Amino acid sequence: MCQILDLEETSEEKVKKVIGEKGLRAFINTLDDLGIEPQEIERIKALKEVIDAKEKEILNLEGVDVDGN
Amino acid sequence: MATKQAYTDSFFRSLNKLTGIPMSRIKDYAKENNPFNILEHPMVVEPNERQLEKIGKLKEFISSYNVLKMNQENEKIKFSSPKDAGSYFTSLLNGMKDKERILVAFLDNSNSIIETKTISEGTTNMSVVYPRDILKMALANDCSNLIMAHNHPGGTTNPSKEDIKLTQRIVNIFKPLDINVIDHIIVGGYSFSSMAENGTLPSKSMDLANYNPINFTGAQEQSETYETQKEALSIEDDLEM
Repeated sequence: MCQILDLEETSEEKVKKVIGEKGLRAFINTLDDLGIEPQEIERIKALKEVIDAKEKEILNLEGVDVDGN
Repeated sequence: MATKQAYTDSFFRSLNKLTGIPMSRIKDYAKENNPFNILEHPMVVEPNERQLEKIGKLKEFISSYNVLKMNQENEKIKFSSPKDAGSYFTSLLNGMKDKERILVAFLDNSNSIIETKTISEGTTNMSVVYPRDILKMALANDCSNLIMAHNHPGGTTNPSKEDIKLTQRIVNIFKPLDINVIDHIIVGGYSFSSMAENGTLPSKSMDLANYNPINFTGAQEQSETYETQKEALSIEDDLEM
């Protein structure tokens, strides 16, 4: 994941620590206190958006009504 | 029923940030196609080398994301049904359309995963399996049971005769050691089938253990029904008994 995000070495360490403590999903949902560069946070948010879209697509393929229609 | 998913500008911007592919090119492609196809067939957006590498990494991450989540939610992943095993292996194999990968999950006596290993990775329709290596891994993990899984790059989930033969070869090796092959999951796209559930899983050792490498062509598209497969299996059983 860190390779996709092009994180600085110090940021990578912080990210790994938080994921180890909180778990991946919680990490993605709480980025503000990480203390890493704003552009790195933007890339993590971008990754979250792509993951969410993928999850939605899979649910959609499985016939789950994800939009409440 | 599945409906066509709408993708937002924000989503396209995110793909652009992560891969470096210009947003206009992503949006153009997405007008007529699912934008996630870019991860499977990156050449459709004519990436440069760096972009191609980033697309590959993103594809790999998305494929393994569900398993990472499962790993963190439960320290141990336990299989209670073919559906559990199917979901797990689908998460690992659903992105593989260009090659075949064979995995084995080594399980303890409560069917919790001790370790999952890739035992072979081939082309779209050919892999070589080394039974001796699987045996070494099983013994190193001190496992009680194991589940095999592989993907059919073509997308079908019907077990082929080759799939059944491969499973039988592995059963022949492990059954005498009291290690049970409890399922063989076949993943095609986002679907899977379970040989245990379909009744096509060999359960008995039918021959002496043969440790020679297996040239496996299980990914060939098969149109036979389960009934035909089961029939073939029972004929083989009759001949051997």
